[in-house]
Amino acid sequence: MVAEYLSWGQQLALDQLTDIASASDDAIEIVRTELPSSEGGLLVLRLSIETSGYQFQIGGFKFRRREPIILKIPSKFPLQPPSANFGHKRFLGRAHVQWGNHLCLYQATDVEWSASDGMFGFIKRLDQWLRDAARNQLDPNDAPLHPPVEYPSSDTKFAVDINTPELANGAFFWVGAAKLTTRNKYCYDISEWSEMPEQLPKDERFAAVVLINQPMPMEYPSTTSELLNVLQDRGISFSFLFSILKLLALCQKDGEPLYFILGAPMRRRAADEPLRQHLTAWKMDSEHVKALRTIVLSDSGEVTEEAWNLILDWATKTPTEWCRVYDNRPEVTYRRDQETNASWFLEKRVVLLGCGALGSHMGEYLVRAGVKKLSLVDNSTVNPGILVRQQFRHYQVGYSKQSGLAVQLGSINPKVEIDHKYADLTKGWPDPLCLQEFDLVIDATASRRVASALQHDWDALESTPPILRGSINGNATQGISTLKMPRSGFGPSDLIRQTKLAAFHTQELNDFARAFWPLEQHKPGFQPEPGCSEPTFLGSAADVAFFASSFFNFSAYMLQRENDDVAKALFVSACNPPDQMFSRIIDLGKSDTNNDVSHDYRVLVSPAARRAIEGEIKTNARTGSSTDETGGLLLGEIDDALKTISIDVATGPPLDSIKSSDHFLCGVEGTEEQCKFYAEKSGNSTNFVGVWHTHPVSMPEPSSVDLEAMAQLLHCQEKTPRHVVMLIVGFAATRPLWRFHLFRKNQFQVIHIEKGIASNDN
Amino acid sequence: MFNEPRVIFWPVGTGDSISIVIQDGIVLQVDLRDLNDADNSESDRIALVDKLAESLPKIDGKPYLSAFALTHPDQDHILGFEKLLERVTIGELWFTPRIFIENDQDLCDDAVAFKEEAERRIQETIKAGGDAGAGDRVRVIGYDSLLDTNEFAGFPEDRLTIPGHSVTEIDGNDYEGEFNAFIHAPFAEETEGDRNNTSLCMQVVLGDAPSQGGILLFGDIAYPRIRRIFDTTKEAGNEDFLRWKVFLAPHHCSKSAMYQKEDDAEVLKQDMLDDLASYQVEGGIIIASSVKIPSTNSSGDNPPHAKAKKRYEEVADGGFLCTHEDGESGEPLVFQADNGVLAAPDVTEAVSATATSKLASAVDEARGSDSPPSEQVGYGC
Repeated sequence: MVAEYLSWGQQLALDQLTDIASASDDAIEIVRTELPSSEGGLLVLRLSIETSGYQFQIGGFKFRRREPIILKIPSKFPLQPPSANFGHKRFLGRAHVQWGNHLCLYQATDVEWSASDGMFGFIKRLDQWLRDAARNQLDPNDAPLHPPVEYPSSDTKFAVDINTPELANGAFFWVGAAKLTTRNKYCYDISEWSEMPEQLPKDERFAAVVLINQPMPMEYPSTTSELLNVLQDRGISFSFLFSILKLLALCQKDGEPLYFILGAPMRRRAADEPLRQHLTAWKMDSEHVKALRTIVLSDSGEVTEEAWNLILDWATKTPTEWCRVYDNRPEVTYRRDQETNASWFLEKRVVLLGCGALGSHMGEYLVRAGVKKLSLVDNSTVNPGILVRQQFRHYQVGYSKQSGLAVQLGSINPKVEIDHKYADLTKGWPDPLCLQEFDLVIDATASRRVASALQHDWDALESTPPILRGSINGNATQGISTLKMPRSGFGPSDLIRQTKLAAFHTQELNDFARAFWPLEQHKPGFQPEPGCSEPTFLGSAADVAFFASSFFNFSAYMLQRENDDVAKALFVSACNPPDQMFSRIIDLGKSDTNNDVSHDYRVLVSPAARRAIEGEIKTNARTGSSTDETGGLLLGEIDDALKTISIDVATGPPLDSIKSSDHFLCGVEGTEEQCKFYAEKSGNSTNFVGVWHTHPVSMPEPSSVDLEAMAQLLHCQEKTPRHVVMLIVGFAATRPLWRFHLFRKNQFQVIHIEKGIASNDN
Repeated sequence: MFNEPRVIFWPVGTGDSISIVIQDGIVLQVDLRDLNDADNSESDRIALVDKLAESLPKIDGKPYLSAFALTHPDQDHILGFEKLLERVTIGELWFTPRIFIENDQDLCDDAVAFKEEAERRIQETIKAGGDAGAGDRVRVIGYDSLLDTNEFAGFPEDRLTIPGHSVTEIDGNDYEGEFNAFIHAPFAEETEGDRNNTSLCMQVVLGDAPSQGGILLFGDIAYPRIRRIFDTTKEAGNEDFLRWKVFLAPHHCSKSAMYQKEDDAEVLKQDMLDDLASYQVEGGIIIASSVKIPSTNSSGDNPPHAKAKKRYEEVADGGFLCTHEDGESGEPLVFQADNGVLAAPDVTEAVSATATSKLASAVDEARGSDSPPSEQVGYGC
């Protein structure tokens, strides 16, 4: 034995196999060893394997007492796995046996082959295969069916995304035509199945289709004559087939081949599912198509003997030319993203506001996830600088972003209905779009102005579709995304404020608070084209992709699981050594929405503030008299633009307050420190906005004393506010009734009385 | 035992003894190995002459065997013939003329007895100018040239069967439709030389359709002759005469049937196995007429050979049987013929399906354990 060309890996395989054979009590015998005859050649081992331990069950492989197995071990073993063939072709046509003798041992070699386990793992796999084959368990009922094999010899390929027509009950076959659309110069799409018409339009391309109700051999015929015989056995006579081919030949252009789509019930996706059609495509070359056409026209006497001879040659002598079919039919395949977060998006209608960094990346995820409809809105254009991180192409510079992105996304998934609109979102929701038609609104503008504008437009709506927002910090190391469900009660702008408070109130999120809501702007924002462009963040395409995918998955996760009155925020930081990746989802709470009676402002009361007021009323009743008035300060924020009052904190009565049954004198002791504390804690979002007090046994309407107090607050303090909220809890002793009143400084006129002359100080 | 069409492979140690029953009482015995110690009750070998004498029909008070065919005059194929001749009337003898070129001293006593009986019958046949009648009949398997020799001068042609032809007559009666023996060998130019290579080789069919498969009896020939039989028969368009339901492993399961020395290396001749497999009818069975086959052999060991058994196990759909391993101890392997189709004896080994196969266990053992030592181990200087 000359081992000149035996690689170290092949020697290892030989050693391992020899060890196995020695320990096998003759269950495996190395009958013959053929060393590689050249550098990089195969080591071929002829084995003999005892099969008496494999229990035969009906339908299984009937093994002889020993089976000859040929192993071919590549020179790169163990990096490359060996292959195994039977030493005969007795199992030709069986599933999981290709080319008549090759054992399909691995479904996914890259995953299943273990180089470190070498021949040990390989022989174990072989043993399991033989065991399963004997008991007919290679395709157990609870597993997918191994598809049959046809060995493609044509360069033409087909992609099929649509399910095949069903055969009628008891029918032997379905005959029709498949409309072909060109995907590229190599591949056609089967875009439509249709019953066989009497005539086919010549300006479109069609393939003949026969779907049969009986399986084909596991290895498809390699010659036309064999195929014709196989079809004949399955009820498709040659004359019938010939008539279909003739009809289809007529609508093929000169010099073009004819394709024949053949389906047989040989696919099953999962347990207990009915058998589905396995599709193959058979090509008849243009020369024979031309001959067919000539024969058809023979009705008018033009048929030539030559054409018949060509067809006869075709039927008896030619090999079958099979084309590869990329099967993507839902009935026989699974989406690769099924059961992932992204699966929520399948068939959904989404509007994407902003087609820049985050938007262009998220758009791609949406169309790949199979949304049904996608509306793109933006008002900026593609410039060369953004190609660094936005999903546009070199040639698209100068395009509007929304139209450029529509082109990009359409080329990924043309089935998605994509429209685009030029609109300045800072002016609010674009009118022609109907908000309620969408299952999700994604605001990828990262603009607070847009949030305010949208909130303003949607203020009157009882509910909106879920809204996802996202933004990235100045150096693309941190991102925040919020998702509000339809009935959370928060508007887009409310969410920003709620998120800010959450960031400031949660110690582990303080870095986010500082990054997104800096108390002071230390340096100007990054300007990529200094002096020309708006400040933006500094970050790469990879950085943006990280945050876009994080936000995308966050929303999909929430949308699949959360109730429709929830709002949550995701805080995420990228891997930025030495810092570790971080993410946290925070519940933003539910809005407790009230209305101010005087100016129709919306009042959002935080649960903490409500609890504080209710607690004080109870304490007051317990420690003093339930008929004594009590009260305290209200801290929060008033947004005139959105006509929104946010009450974050309610204090109890300051220490120097005085309570009685008809009066509550709100003290001041410690209030300045208290307000300062909350202002700092909230990033200056929670400040003094007003007071609250009770009317133990009367309506929550401002009394003259209350009005006097308001005038005092708005005009007679050292630093007077512009407006003050007064909450009165009426009937506090029995059935508390809350009512908010907003008083503006300009509602009160201060009249100076001096020497009998009154003057207006407004 | 001999009242229905069947083929019986007797357990006679490493040697051949096959009884072919054509119809009630009509038996063709191919070869004989009757061992002196076979009547020992402990032995799993049958005292075949006793058994034949006891079971054959009796004519004029003496057991009567319709015909006896000798493949070649080696001891493991002819032992006990003298005794058989004494106790049983043999209607017809089949043989090749190879025996006449042997010196008596090169033959065992029983072969000498056979030779003398054959010579006697030749003379009787020449004298009769045709069929010499029961007890004197012969069928010589050979070639025309034989008739030009002095020994066979005047021998009638119809008692000569040339290889490549069939015989349907047994002991003066034609059993066409019930029996057909197609003679494959010996080949004309190989009637001399090593005895094994000159064996009478034939396909015997109990019926009228060789294509349904018969019994291939190839004596003790080795790979080159087997190869030649396949090639010659294919060339002559006689492939149906190669089809087998039962194949008697040549030379008692010798590896010489499929291995050959080439440049000092023992080379597997896969072509022989492939051809053998291709002419098998459904459920074919290969038989080793031999003692129990060892799991391994040493170089130079006589048959049976473990390697040959393994190769045959890769070929036979219906399995591999050994006359001393399968079936009841001391009992023959019997293939019943029903309308010309041979049925395997009910000795199929039960499949021992276990959770862990031998192969998987072997892998585990070869892979080794990753457990720490279970016993103390001392170290030191």
